[in-house]
Amino acid sequence: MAAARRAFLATGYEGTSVDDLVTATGLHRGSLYGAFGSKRGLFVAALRQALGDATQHCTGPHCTGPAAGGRALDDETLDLVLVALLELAPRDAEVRSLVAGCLAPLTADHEGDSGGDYGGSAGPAANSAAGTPAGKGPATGTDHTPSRTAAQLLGARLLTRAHLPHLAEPTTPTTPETTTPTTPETTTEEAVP
Amino acid sequence: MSTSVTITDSTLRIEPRGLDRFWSLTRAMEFPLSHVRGATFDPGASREFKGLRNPGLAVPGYKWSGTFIREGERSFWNVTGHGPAVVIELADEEFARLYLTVAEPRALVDAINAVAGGV
Repeated sequence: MAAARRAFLATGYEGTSVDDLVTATGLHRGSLYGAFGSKRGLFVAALRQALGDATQHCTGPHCTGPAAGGRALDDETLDLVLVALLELAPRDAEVRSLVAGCLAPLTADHEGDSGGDYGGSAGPAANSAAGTPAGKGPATGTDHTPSRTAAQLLGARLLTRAHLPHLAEPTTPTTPETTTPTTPETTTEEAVP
Repeated sequence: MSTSVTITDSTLRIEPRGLDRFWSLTRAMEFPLSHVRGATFDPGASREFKGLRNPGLAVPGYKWSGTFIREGERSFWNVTGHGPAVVIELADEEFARLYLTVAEPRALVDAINAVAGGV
């Protein structure tokens, strides 16, 4: 599945042939069809897994609620979401629904966050947007600013992926921290109660 | 020659056209949409080993029409040349999958995937 995801990320959905997937996964063509039903089935499974992994990051004690789930999207997952949005979502209701379910909390969080800062300095305040008084800061699984809407987050990722990171940074000095991408598996940090 | 594929409210109907009906020994087949798992535009499929013909027509490099058995799986082929072929995956049917040359493969694939109900 990871190999298939990498293939889709490298050449897009339409640009990845079944031959490419056979080579990438090492499966026989018949096994591939038998397991996933179609190339689309494999893409949807890869997307579900990526989004599921992201969701799992927010099941721990430091990360609750749909808003936190939105934050757990790493760059690779965002890239897969971009591929889904660009190539499949316009004509595929299930993919559209999957992506919408993943992105909606971001915008909802943005609306409920009232522009609060992100990170340890404002952890409890930001976490309250999830509606649970956990008393701990949100997971810092990604380095994306949570106050961004889905459109801002995806736009920034798109520009960063296109080697135009300077265009992805906000011009208004509302966020003191820059959005430099690092590894998504950084440990969580607890905020001072 | 190619195959006509029609999607109704509840079924997927496959009809080989012209002489392909003769070569494939098949006039028409119908499958419930709940047995259709998905479709893929797969031009490379016809380059792979198809299995043993039983029965049908096989002209290597040009045409495969009929039933082929590979590793215990039965598949139905009606493919001409190495052009655009569509692969339709089935469940609980005589054939595990269908390989078809159709007039508008990408549109057909989208249409089938929009209604496919198999798992």
